[in-house]
Amino acid sequence: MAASATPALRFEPQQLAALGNLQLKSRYLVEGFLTGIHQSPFRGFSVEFSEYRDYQPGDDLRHLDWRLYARNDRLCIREFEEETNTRVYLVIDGSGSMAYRSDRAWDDKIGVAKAMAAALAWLLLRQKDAVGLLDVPPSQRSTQFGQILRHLTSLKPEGDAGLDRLLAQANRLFHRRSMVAIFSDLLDPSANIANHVKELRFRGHDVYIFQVLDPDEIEFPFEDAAVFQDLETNTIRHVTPEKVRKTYLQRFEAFMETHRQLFRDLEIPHEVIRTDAQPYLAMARFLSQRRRKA
Amino acid sequence: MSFLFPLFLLGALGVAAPVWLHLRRRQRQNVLKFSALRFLDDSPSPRDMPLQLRDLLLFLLRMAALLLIVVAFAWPILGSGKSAKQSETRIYLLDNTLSHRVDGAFDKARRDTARSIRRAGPEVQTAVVEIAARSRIVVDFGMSHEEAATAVDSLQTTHQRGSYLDAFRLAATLLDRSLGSKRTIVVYSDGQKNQWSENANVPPFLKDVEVILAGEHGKQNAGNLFASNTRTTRLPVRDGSAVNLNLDLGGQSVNRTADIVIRADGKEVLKQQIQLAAGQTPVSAQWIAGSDTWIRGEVQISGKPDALPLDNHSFFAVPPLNPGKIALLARSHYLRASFDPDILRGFWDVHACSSKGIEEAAKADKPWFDVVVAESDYLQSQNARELILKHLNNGRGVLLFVTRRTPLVDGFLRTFGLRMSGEKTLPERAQTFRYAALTHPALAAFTSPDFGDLLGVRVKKYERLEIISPEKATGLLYAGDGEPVLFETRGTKGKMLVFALDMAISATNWPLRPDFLPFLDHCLRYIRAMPEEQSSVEPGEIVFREFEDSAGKTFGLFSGNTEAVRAIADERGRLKIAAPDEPGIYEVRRLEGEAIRVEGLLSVSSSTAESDLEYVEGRPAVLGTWILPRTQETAAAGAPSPVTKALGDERSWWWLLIAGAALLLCEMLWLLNRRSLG
Repeated sequence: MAASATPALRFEPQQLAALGNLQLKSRYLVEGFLTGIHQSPFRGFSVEFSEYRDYQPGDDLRHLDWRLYARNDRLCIREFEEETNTRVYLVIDGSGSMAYRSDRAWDDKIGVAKAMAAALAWLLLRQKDAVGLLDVPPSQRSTQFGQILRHLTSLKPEGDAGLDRLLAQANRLFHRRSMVAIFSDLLDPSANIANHVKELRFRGHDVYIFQVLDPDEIEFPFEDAAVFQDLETNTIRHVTPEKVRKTYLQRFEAFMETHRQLFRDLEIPHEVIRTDAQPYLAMARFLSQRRRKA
Repeated sequence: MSFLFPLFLLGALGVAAPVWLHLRRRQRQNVLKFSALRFLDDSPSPRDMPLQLRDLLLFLLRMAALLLIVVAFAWPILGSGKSAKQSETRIYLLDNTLSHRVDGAFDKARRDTARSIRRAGPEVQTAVVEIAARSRIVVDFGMSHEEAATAVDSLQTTHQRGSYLDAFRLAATLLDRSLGSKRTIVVYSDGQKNQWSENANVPPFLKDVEVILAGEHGKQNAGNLFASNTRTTRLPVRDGSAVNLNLDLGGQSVNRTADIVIRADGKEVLKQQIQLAAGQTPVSAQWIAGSDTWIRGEVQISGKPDALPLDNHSFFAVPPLNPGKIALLARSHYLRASFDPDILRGFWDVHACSSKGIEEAAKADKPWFDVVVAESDYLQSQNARELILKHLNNGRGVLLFVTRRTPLVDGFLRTFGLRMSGEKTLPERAQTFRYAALTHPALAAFTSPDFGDLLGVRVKKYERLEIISPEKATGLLYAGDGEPVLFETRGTKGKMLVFALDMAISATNWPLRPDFLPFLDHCLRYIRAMPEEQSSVEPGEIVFREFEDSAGKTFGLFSGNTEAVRAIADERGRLKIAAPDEPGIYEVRRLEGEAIRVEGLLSVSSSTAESDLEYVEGRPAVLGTWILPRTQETAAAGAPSPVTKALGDERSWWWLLIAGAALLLCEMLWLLNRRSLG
C-alpha cells in the first residue's frame, strides 16, 4: 500500500522533496510520525511528556503542577520529566556515495539521513534526552536542536572513507555508555567498519544502524548502456545493464547478508531505510529501543 | 565565370569535415554517477549501426555552407564585361568658389564638365568633386554618365572659399578605388594664385595620375575693388559707445577712385569717394551708438573697373558693450582712486565690498563679479581667503596687491608657490624695472611706445616674494635689483596676478603715470578670461558657439524671418553650425517651442582671399611636388590590380559570403533548438 494512502501516517515524497530546508523536513517527519503514532501499535513509546496523573499522598510535591491546580482545582503530578537521562549520539556518514539520488527518491541518501537524524533529535530532546553529534556534545538544552541543525546542514557528502573515519572517531570520543544511531549506506569498502562497530558494542554502547539505500541500489533498474562513474573515486565503468544486472543483484544481496549477519551477531538493530519510502517504522523501533534502555 | 583566386577552391576539401563528422560521430553515452560501483564489472557495448549518416538535412546544410564560403573566397567573377571595358578613370574637380564667378567662368566650366562627361564613352569611369568651403563628391563612380552630367548641371554657384588641396585629397581617395588603368584628374578652375600656393607643403601624394588643367584662367590685372581686413572696436563713452571701423580697400593697382558707403543700423555713417593708393588703402570710420545692443552694419564699395562685383558688399556685426564687474577689497587711497567707479565706467563696474559683502559673496553659488581686486590686508579675513580661492577655482580672475607681511598672508601665498621674506627698499639708482616679460598679454601693450614707458616707472620699495615652486608661480616684472615684483600663479582654473608693490606714493610713482590705468585694464582683461567670440565668418565656414543652458537645444540662423540653417547644441552646450552661403547678417535664434530668443548676430562676408584676383601663369609649380614620380615598380604594375578592378563591380562575393553565413546561422539555431527540446 502506498504511504500516502494511509490516512494515519502522513507521508508524501513529493511534498517532502519540495521542502528544501532541513528544519522543515524534520518537522514534516515529526508531525507525520506523531499523527500516525496515536493509531499505531507503538503508541505511548516516548511522547508522554504531557501525561498527568492524579496526586497520591506521598508524592513529591515538587512534581505537582501548580498551574493546573490553579486552573482546575485538581492536584496532578507531571511524571515524565524525571524519567530519563539517556545520551544519544547521531552519527551520519558523509562519504561521497551518500550523494546518490534516483528519480524515485524524495531526497539523496544523505538528505534522508539528515532529515531522519533531525527528526529523531527533535523527538528525543522533547523527552529531555541528551542528544549530540560527533562534534556536538550531547545536551538537553533547548538550544541544542538549533546547534544540531546547523551542523547537519553544513554536512556535505564527499570523499571515499567517511564511515571508517567516523566510527574510529566515535570510539575515541564516546566514553560513557550511550545510544549511538548510525546513518550510513555501509558501502564503505573498508574492512575496518565491522571492527569499529564491534568495538562500539564492546564498550557498552547501544548501537543502532540505519542503512540508507536508494531503490536504484537495491533493484538496479537501469536499461540503457551507460558509463557509470563512482561517486567517491570517480572510477569509470562502461556497463550494459542487462548483462550485469544478475551479477549485481547477487553481489548486493551477499553484501547485505554479510551485514545482517554481523549485526545479528552483535545484537545490533539494523534498519534499512529506502529513500523512496517513509521512515516512521524505523524511527518508532528506535524510540522503543531507547525506551527500553531508559 | 572565372575565379580570381582559384587556389582557394582547394578549401572545398573542407567539405570532407562534415562527412567525417557525420560518419565518425558516436552516439554520446550517458554518464551516470553511481554509488555502488563496487558491484559492477565493465561490459562495454559494441557500436550500434556503424558508418551511418544521421540528420541528412543538417549534413547537407553544413556542406552547402562550407562550399558557399569556399567559393566566395575564391572570388568568382561573373563575365558581365563591364569592368573589363573601363580603361580610364577620370575625376573632375570643379572650382565653385567666388573668384570663379568672374565673367561667368563657373557657368562655362560647369557646362564644359557636363559636356565632357556626356561625351565620355562607357570605358571611362567618372566622378566629380566640387571645390567649396568643404569639398564634396557630387558624382560618384556608381552613377551613369547622364546622371552625372545632370548632377553637375544642377550645381548652384556659391560665395565660398575652397581648398584645392582638400579637393585633390578627395580625388585621391576616389582613385584608390577606381577601375581604370589610366587615371586622370581634370581641374576646372580659374587658376587663382593664392589657392594654388596655400598648403603647398602638405602634398596629397598623387600616384600615377595625370592632372589636366582644363578651365580658362582669369585675366591678369583685370582690376577688382574689394574691402578687406574689416575690424571694429567699441569703446564706452559717456552716453553710449564709440564705434571704430577700420578696413582696407584693394583695387589691384588699376583703380584710381572708389565710392564707399558704410551703414550701421540702417543709417549712413560714411559716404565718401576714396583715392586709391598702390596696394591697400586704409579707411576708417567712427560714430556714436548705444552701448547695450548689437550693431548691424554693411560696407558697400563701387568703382570701375571691377571684375567681381559680388565681393563689393561686406557685413559686420558689433556686440554690445559688456563691462566686467569688479569686487574691490582695498582700503589704500591710491587703489581706491584707481578703481573709482566713475573712472572705469563703461569698461568695468566696480563695487567696493564691505565685510558683510565679502561673506555673502564667499557663500554665493554664482558670484555677481568677474574679477576680484584685493589688498593683502583683507587676507586676514577667513571669508576673503575663501572668496579668492573659490573664485579662482571657478575659473575667474584675481588681482592681488601684497602690501604687508603677516603669517596668514604668508601662508596663503605659499599655497601658490610664493613665500614672503620681508620688505626691501631700493637705492635710487636701482629704482627702474630691470626685466619685463613683454610677451605676456598683460604687459604686451608696453611694446608700443604709444602705450607707455615701463622705464619711467620708479619703484622705491617692495615686499620681497620668493618663488618656492616654479611650477606654481612665474615672475613677470623684475625690479632694479633683479627681484620679481609681479607674478602670475598657476594651478587654479582662474588666473591670478600678484603685485609685490604697495601702490602708494612712498613705494612707487606708477599710479601717477598715464599708463597705469590702461595697464590695469589690460591686467583685468587678461584675468577676466572672456571667450573671444567670432562674429564675422565666411560663407560655409564652421562656427562654434556656446550659450548658457543650451545642451540639446535647437538653434537657427535667420536672415529676417527666413531660416537659413538649423543645428542642435551637443550635450556640453556647444553649437556647431555651418555659416550660410549667402553673405549677410544672421540672427542666432534659440528655438524653444513657440518662444524664439535672439542669442547674438553673425555676419557672413565673402573671403578676402577670393577677391584677390591674381592667377598663376601656365601650370602651377606646386603640381610638380603633389604628383609623385612614376617609379619602375608602379610603371611595371601599370593598371590597377585585378582585385581593385573586381572590387568595384563584382557583388557576387558578398552574396556568397552572406549566404554561407546565413546557412551556418540556420545550422546553429537548429542545433540549439534540438538541444532545448531535449
